[in-house]
Amino acid sequence: MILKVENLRKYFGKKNIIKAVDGASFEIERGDVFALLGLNGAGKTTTIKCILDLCKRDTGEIIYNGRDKIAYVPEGKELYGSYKVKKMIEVAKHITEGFDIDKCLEFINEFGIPLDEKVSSLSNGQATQLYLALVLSQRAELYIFDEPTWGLDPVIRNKILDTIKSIPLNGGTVFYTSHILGEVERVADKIAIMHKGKILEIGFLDDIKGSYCAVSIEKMQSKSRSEELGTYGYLYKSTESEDIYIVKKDYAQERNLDFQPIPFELTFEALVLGQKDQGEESNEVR
Amino acid sequence: MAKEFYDLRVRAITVLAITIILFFVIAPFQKLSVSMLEGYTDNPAMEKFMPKGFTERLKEWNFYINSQWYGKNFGQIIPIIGIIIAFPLFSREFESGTIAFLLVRRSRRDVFISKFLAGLLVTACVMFVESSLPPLYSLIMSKNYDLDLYFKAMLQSVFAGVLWYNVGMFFSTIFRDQVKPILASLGILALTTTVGFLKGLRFLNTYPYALCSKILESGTIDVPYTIGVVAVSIVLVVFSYGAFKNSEV
Repeated sequence: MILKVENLRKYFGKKNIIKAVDGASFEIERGDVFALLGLNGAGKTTTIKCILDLCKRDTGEIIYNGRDKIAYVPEGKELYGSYKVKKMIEVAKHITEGFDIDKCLEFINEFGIPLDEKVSSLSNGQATQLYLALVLSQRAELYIFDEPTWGLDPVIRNKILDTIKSIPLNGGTVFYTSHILGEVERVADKIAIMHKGKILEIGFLDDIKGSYCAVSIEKMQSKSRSEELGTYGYLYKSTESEDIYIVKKDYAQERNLDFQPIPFELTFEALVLGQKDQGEESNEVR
Repeated sequence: MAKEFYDLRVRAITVLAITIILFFVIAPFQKLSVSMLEGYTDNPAMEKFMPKGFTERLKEWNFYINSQWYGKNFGQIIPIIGIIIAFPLFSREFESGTIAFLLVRRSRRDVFISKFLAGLLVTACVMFVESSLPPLYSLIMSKNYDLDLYFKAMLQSVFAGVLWYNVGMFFSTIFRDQVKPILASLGILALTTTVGFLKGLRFLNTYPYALCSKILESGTIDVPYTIGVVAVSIVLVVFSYGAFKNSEV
């Protein structure tokens, strides 16, 4: 285990009204690509900031078992706009322990970023690639990427995802956040789904994908079954003749219900949208 | 600290250039200033503002350059120079989001020390160079100059500059944009200067110290005030570090 987060809480606002992270717990094993999935505002960035001590946590424990500093690509990819790319690399070398300048220049060359260009003149994609080059040239055991492909075109996005996916091949571990499910499916081994500061589901991506299914119930067939599924499942679609619920596969199997496999997006939707605010009737998918 | 010096270079060079220009607006024009003032000698309205014999004393180079540089033009801008060098130190990093780039690579202590020391060194160097202009100019122009007064004025200028540098740095650590630190620092400067006109609160006005009033009047450094300036500076550094250490990105 390289990183363990246990019962992490971080509240904001008067009387701690905003529960950005509300009791999140997870572990990341060495060599994993672990993705934290969630809608915007789920608490993913705050969790990362607490891990990196950029934010002070209210309670909880964070154990990092690495020797080197954690490498981090933030959501905004903010670099020094007034510097030229060459100067930015020099500064990174100066302030980063174990920075391999030759490796960095290789990445810069591969990405085709001009060394004499000002950082502020780079496109969004180039700025992200520059940030990535700086971070990947750092000696690190854990790499954290916060929405690394935000605002990028598909070609650059694929390049970056390929680069991230190759990190474990060199002995690194990846902690990755995103709200783009297709990316996560492509890159991650293990995932955690976060919503309103809480971890709703955690495990291997394939296990989670296979543990939910869709169940159709004819409306006239069984009112009581429909009511039960309304409590234990997420009503995905309702037509004149039938209701389609998303439930755990175990639940469907135990009750001998006919079920259909569902794409990961529907599992995510059911988990996230099935969660009601406090005070509302629970519609948690079980 | 190389990055910090690189970041400070434009501000330091600009401040130095402006102040050197200001010096050359004053130093070569001793005769012109004296002759202009002599034109007002018989004007009764001016007697209120000019002590008797002042114009005569201005004819003497040491009195002219010391009173016009340390006691007036340079002295007045010392606090502003300190604030200008300090205000973006931390706030610019917070405003642009680059603070995360530093804090995931270095400890907060290291980041604070690098920034604080680089700014402190630049402030002290700027103060040293600018307060050294009178002796340098005198040397080049082959004018007699009293170096004893220069050393004292230079020391007080450095301390006054460092005090206001620390005020600027404190606000730079607590605000997340660059406008508030400069406004807050200038606000404190205006407030302490105004309140310092009240009897019993004169010590709050740092201008008599920055303008080297005591040195120009009696030839001695204001030692108690210097100790006070150092003590307040230390307190400001401690508070700045506390604010930065607990800041959230």
